[in-house]
Amino acid sequence: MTEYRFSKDSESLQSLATEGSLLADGVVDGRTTSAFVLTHAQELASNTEKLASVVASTHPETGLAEKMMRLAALAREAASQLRTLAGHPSDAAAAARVRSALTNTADAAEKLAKSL
Amino acid sequence: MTKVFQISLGVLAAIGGFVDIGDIVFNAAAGATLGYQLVWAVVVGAVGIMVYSEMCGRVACIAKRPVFDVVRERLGYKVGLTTLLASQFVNAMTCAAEVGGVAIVLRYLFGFPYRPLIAVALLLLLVSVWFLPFEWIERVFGFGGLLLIVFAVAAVKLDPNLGALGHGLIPHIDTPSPLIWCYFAVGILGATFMPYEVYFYSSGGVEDGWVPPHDLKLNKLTAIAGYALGAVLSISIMVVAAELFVPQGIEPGFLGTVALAAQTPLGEAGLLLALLGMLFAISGAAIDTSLAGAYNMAQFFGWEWGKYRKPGGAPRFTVTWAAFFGLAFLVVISGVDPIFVTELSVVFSVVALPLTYVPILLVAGDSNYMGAHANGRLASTLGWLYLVAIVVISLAAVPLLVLTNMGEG
Repeated sequence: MTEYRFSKDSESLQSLATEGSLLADGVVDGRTTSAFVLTHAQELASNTEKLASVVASTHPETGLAEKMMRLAALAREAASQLRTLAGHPSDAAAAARVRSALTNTADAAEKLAKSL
Repeated sequence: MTKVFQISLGVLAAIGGFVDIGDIVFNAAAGATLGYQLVWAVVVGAVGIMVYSEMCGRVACIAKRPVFDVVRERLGYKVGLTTLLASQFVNAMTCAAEVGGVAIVLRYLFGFPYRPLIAVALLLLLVSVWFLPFEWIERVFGFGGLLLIVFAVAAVKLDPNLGALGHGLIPHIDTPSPLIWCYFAVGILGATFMPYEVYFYSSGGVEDGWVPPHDLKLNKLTAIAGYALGAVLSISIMVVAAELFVPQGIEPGFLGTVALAAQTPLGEAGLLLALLGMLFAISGAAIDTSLAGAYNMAQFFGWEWGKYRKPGGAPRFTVTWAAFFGLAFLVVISGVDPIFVTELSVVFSVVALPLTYVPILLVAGDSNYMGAHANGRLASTLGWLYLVAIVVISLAAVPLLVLTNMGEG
């Protein structure tokens, strides 16, 4: 994996996690429907899992190995949070926890993208 | 009210060009990537498709000849057949993407698994086209698609930067990646000129029984109002994406992401209106493409055609549009991503674009066919200018797709 690709993948994770937190935000405020949350959280989780798998299985350039492991771990954590949201699409308390976790993930992914 | 219903052909044709499944996501991605920089592309595309739709509607009205009839006569059998094959391939791919899109939106609405919903989508579309008269297809799906106006409301609620929006009407590049800018500009313009819009529009003019001189005015009004509404919807989606997604670094990749942009400022009502608007718009685009495919075949081979006939009165036409839906079902059920398919279909339409628009321009300007209603100076000048633009788009589309990795850099 090149620095450019790493940066792009970090941005993708930031995007997926931020979107997930926006989705969870709708559940917390009661401004969405459970069918939409269930479906869209599953879509986001699936893409995040794919991203985690790609990052974990790619051979890194020198000096990127540790950051790549961190990015893959963050992606797996985000995917897990998104699966939780999909499993509890109308639970405001669970959504609040997911929102907080995904916001932290998005911040961490942004820092990773800018760390190069 | 009757006047409003009369422009429904233009609205439904425009839905296919501006807010089908690919356009919804593509416009949101353009807004999220480049802010307001490509608003001008929507406006330029809208004026171009207005010019050409008015021409082919006029030809249908005066000469009673829809586009593919003209294509075969002007280009001859071999080139006509090439145009037919290219356009049918694009129609089939686009129809597949739209059927998949209908299933995706049904899933957002009801939460059921995707694959059974593809079958439900197919059934809904088949039943609609079989039982609804042409004018009701236009009204239900054209005006239903206008529920997407919720994005205009969302855009206003988000208090957009009007200065930046106005600046977006002037082409300018303000990004470190000019190739990405070119990719999105060509994609927006190319999607606006998708050939099935004019096939559907001109055949629809014949279906609606347009006769001169009264319906020449209706044609002009329909082309201008229909595509203007399409452009407004398209720009609205771009605006909400620019306002919501740029600051947060969200890259829209799903229809759901776009729906979320209506929910964020407008709540559950905004979400539901956006999803219903998408359902009607994408269903309308699926019907546009399947009927356009059947119109093309029937007009090229000289079959009986028209929704105004009962299914048994134009059996090969009926079998063809049903076959398009059947083929679409098989493609989507195989698991391909509908949004990926529609983005590819825009690129593959490059072969059909010039071959579709050249004959329209030639016939609309030919006084032997059109008499006193041949193109005037304005229509002729705009027609040739846009033809040059269409050729440039055709040549640039594939290299840009490859060089930008489908816009992902």
